[in-house]
Amino acid sequence: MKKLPIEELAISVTEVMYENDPTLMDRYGDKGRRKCIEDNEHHFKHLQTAYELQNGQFFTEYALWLNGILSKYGMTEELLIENFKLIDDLLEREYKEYEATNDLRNYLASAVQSLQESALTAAEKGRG
Amino acid sequence: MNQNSRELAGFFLEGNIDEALRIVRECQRDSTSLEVFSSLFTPAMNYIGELWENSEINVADEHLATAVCDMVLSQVFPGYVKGEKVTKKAMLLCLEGEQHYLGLKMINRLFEENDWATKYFGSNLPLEYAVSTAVEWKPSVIALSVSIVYHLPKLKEYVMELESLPHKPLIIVGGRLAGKYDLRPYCSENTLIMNDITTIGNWLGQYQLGEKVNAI
Ligand code: B12
Repeated sequence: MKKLPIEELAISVTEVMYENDPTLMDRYGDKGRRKCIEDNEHHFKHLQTAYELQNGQFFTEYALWLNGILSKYGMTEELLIENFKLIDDLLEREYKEYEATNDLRNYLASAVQSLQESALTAAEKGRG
Repeated sequence: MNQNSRELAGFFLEGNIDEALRIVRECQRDSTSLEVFSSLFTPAMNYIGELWENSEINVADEHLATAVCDMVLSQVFPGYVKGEKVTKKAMLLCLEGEQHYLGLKMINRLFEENDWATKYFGSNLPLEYAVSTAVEWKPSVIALSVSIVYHLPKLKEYVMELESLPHKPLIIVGGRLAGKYDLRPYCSENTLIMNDITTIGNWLGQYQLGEKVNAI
């Protein structure tokens, strides 16, 4: 299987994120941008791994684990979901022909669903 | 987690080698190495991981704790004096890219205590170098350790290539992921997959016993 151009993809996704929300640059600066690229490299690395192992569970568990860490820093799952949606857009737009694209998009969708479910469970616990 | 492990983790984080050594030596008085590894070191390091995951400690704290843990291991379990006729040979390595070697270091010690001659390579050994040493040294066992999911795609390659060496070594796979997932799809039917340190401890004991029986 062909390897994904992970660095390139991570930079593209980050660019879109910063274009969509110009306040990000004001709030987090260049350091934040670099961190965002790094995080996206990790997302792609895990997507690629799930594909090589033909098992989306590995990506979903990564997403839940990462979301746990981000939530300790006061970030909601929305941010990660938004990020995954941007990756999905990019794959759909520019990697249609790529053999892994269908699988990768499925992994992203299941991860998003699990993140939403876990947010619901957390909210219910909070209320209960 | 037991009180001792929690305390040990605290000393790892403080960089307090003396106190860490004290706890481990105390525990060592009435426990086997296997017990010290499984009930003291392993929970202490996993607790460090939890603290990091909950952002109660930062990366620097985690690295300090790891360094202290490593030093304490080396001091409490220094070079093992082997028996007269050591004929069994084992190689122990982490897959390419894998940096989590503390567990494997403990496994190495158990092999040594069971009279195996070992070559322990620590972290990150690319397959081609593992192969060349294995061809030359002909170990009957090659133990692989893997902790991080994105190293898993390499596992199958390691297993297949090492199992097909002319002297047909036995491959044993362990590490954090072996306890979490079914790794069989990435191994062959001949590979031994072991969930934890107790399993390999028992296996080493049985092997020793088998040898004695055969010798009679
Ligand atoms: C120390 C540590 C590190 C150290 C490792 C240093 C070293 N010399 O080992 C450093 C700082 C380098 C590190 C780096 C990273 N780490 Co780290 N690390 C840990 C930590 C806190 C402890 C690991 C440890 O030593 N455990 C104790 C040992 C004894 O346990 P063990 O490895 O499982 O080994 C036991 C058994 O598995 C078995 N065993 C081991 N090998 C073998 C082999 C055989 C043949 C057999 C039979 C048995 C066996 O016996 C051992 C004894 O009980 C764990 C926490 C955790 N829960 O594991 C995180 C953890 C594993 N790390 C994690 C992460 C994310 C990383 C990084 C990706 C972080 C980053 N962004 O850079 C990097 C990846 C590095 C890499 N490429 O490998 C995550 C993984 C989460 C996930 N879902 O993937 C964990 C779980 C932390 C967490 N709670 O989130 N890490």
